[in-house]
Amino acid sequence: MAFLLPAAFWGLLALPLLLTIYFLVGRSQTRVVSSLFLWTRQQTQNREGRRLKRPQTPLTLLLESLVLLLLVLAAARPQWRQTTLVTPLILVLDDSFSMAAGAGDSPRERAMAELGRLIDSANHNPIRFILAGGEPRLIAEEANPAADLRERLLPWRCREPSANIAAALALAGRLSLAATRLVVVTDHAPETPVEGQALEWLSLGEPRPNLAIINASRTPGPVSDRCFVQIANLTPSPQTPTLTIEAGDAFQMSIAIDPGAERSLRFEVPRQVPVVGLSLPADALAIDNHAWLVRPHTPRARVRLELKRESLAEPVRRALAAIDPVMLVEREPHLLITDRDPTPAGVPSTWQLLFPAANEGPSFIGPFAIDRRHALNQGLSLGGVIWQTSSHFQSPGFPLISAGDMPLFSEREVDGHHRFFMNFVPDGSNFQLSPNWPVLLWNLIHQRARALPGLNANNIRLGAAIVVRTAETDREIAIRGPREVEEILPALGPAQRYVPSEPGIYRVETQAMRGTVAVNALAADESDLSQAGRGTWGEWKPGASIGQRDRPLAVFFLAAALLLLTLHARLLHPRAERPLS
Amino acid sequence: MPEDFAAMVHHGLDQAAVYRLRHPPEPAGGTTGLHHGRLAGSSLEYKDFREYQPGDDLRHIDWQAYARTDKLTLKLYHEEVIPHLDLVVDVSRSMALPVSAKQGTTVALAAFFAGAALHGGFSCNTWLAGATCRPLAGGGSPNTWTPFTFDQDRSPARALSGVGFRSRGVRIFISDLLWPEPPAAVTRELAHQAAAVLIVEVLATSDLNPPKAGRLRLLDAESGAVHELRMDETTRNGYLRDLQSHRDQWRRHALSMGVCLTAIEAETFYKHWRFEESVFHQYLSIR
Repeated sequence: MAFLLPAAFWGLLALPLLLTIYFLVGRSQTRVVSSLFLWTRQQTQNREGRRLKRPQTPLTLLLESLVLLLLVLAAARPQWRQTTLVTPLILVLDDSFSMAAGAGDSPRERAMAELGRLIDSANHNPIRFILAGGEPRLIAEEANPAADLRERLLPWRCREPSANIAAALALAGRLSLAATRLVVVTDHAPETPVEGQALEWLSLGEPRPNLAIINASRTPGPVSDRCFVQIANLTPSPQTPTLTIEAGDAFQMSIAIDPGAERSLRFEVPRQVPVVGLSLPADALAIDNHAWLVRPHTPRARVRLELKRESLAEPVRRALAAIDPVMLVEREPHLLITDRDPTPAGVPSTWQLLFPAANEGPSFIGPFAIDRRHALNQGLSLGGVIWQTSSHFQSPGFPLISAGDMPLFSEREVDGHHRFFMNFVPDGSNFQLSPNWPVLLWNLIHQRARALPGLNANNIRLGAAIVVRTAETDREIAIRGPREVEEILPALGPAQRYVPSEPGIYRVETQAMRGTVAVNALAADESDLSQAGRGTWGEWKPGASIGQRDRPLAVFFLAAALLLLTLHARLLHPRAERPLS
Repeated sequence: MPEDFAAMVHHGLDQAAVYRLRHPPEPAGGTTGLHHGRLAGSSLEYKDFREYQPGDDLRHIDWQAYARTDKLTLKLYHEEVIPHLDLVVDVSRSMALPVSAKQGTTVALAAFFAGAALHGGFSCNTWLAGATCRPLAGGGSPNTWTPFTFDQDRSPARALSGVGFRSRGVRIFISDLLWPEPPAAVTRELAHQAAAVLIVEVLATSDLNPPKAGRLRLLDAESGAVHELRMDETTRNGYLRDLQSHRDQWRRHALSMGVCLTAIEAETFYKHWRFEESVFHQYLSIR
């Protein structure tokens, strides 16, 4: 016998308390009697023995002790471990959103009916469920009675943009015991044969026609934003669906699409419209009939220039003017571009791009070593560039661009101070005249902007993560999803990830920022229901393994305690004794 | 229940006011004796001798017998074969059981019988029995009794031997009879050459109805011995059974000796003063 709650045995401490009450509190009463000779006879007879020995301790104390013991045992949740022949069962459930096609007659609903019959078909124990989404996920370790199957499988929501069944089977393989029955429940046939693999494949899908939004994006512009949407006709016949666009006002357009083809649309919306809603008419699969587009927002970098030499200041100013998220400021800059000597101490919130104050130094024409992995060097090509340096300038830190062993452009972060050292003298260079000059500065500005509190992206696909960049002072991130339920996450680092579970609009707020993210179910493969079907593949050969089933015993202990309590009550309130005349 | 001795005596005398003790129709032992006159008188004819006992009339001492035997002997004249009561009171500590009416009932009973005896023309000697048996000073009338206490640490199981009660007198013994010795030692002494013997068994309610449960530390009223036990149904039933057996044994023995034995519960009797019918008809009559 095993006990599921052994901590209940602390209740036995009440037993010595009960005995203490009996033997200490219930002290003797002194009574004067006319003579002891009739009383001592009673004890003498007991000591000499009878056929049934009567204990000195009253029966009531014994009964109370037994009742206490039985109650403690019942509270400890005793289980009788029964060895039986059982078959472990692992069910891999396709969690992609195609399993929800057809509403009340979806593959998921059909599977719920089938699972009950499958579980009852043999003595399955233990039963495990693995959800096959983008990543496999184990849920509901055991589900013995079929009655609570629906409740146990509430996490099976079928909203993933894909089903990685291979990864789920790999997880199942690690969990398998001897003679484990492995069943995959999905809506399509297996891509590879499963015969001979000790695997059953159960497909409960049905080919259905479907129109879906498979792509959508929004690009910000100076006056208006450009939107792109792609619609797929996943039906066997030509379709002319009506696309509804809500951008302040709602307007509709009919789109003719050939069977199996895709149609792309581009349109502009005013930049002031925060969210553009797109929707198609209802069909077999609802999740891909809607999309939202939020205006992408990049924080503006505040830049301050402290350049003495006009030959350097002028190309810098010219480049900055062409870069969008830049705001030239005098106070509290995010980026300081300077050629001051000595270099200013600065604060951690202000990055620094440092140039030499002096002019004289050697020039380099290449070859240049560029660290292509670094974001600042994206798109750079220094062919034909002349780069003059200053002999009096040091470029400490990690070199990003070098000429030989001479670092020309380096990065250094110490104690939160982020500095870039560019040993560049414009007088003897043509770098500032090449397209690389604004590219490099654009990369720097954007990297600085992306380090500011905000969102990495405002429009993501279902299955991707919302990445929130937080400030040092942020302690919490509040996220409110399409069901208007707010979740509070701790701000544990400079970037926090949150994976939404359903499409819709999500509002994100921290102390330093506020933003909106649109999550869209854009997965052409999942929206294509033409390949769904019904069928079973593979065969299970029954081969039971020895397992154990626990039977609860608490009810028996409680019944015994109740019986003893009844006896106890009868002892305390017997029929009245008549004294002998 | 008055604690005052005089009040207890007075209660008994009040109850005896309408009663007189009477000689039972058949003297004990079946001997035919002289009729007892109602009034004391003197006669020159004496019928019997007996040993002198303190309190006897010195005029009736047989000086000649004394000269011969050095023993004081009393001449029993006709008038001394008048009714006599020897009243024996158990003065062991058990008769003054705390929180009971035994003491008061015993004193009142003694006063009752003594008073009734006087009403019936009996002479009366009162004896106090415990470890020994001694006469009560103060004469036959309860009004002149010296107050006595129940302080003997032994029951009078063997105290009555050799006491020398008046022959052919009535003897009344008031006691709880709670001792382990067989009844014969007492009943034989009481019945020897007695006209009639009445034993009044006085028991307290607590003697008859002990507690039902609990841990008890029992203290013997006479010896002071202590006995601890846990009262339960078994123990209680055993005590009641043995008590009944003990009382039955006394009854049987009394019956075989021609002794009348009546039992009273002290608390109830003191309040209602009701004797058994047989006792009433045999020993009492209304004045």
